[in-house]
Amino acid sequence: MTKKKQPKEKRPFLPVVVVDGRELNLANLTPAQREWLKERKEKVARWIRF
Amino acid sequence: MPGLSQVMYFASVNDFASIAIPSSSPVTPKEKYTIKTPHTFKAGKCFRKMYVGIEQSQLQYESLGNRDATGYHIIGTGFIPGDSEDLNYFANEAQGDRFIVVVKRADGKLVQVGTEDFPATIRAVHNSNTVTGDSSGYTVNIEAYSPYKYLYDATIQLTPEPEPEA
Repeated sequence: MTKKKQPKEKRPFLPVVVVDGRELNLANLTPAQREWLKERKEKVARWIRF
Repeated sequence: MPGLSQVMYFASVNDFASIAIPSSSPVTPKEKYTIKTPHTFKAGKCFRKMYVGIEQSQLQYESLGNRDATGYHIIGTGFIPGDSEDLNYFANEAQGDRFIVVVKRADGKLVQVGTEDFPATIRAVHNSNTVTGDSSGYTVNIEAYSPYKYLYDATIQLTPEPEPEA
């Protein structure tokens, strides 16, 4: 019996962005970068929800 | 510290899905001249980064017209050392295009050169210099006219926008 193929989960789009002069890869944030970004969350709200 | 950082961001006006402007209802009066909404891009497009020499980049504003006139003539210069197929392509394509350029000052603040109504031009001109002289490379001349001096205080997207979901 063939297994039904599950639809591939679409990965969210997390770009490299510059926020307040600092270049960040939203797909690969360090804990320190995440904390720093939380204070500026409205600037990346389109891609990340804190 | 005066001067500019070694990084500029630019994109052709044709690449934008929307070009943001300052809010029509600013919270404080000075926000009339600060763009706080990020520009958005068409699929496959984003801002590009340009590295320029540290001692050769400058952004200068000049007043337009006589004492009763307003507005600015903006002149930016930068130097990109060397040459490559990519730089050659950029120099040739840019001369006929119009851009939004975001310039990073030495203090990290961002200044926008060019708007939807008054986009900037970028001319990259190559000089080989002499064998015993300074480095060869491109002098990048950025020019725009603008009614106001705009700051940019939003995100700069450096990854191409994905295709919209079907």
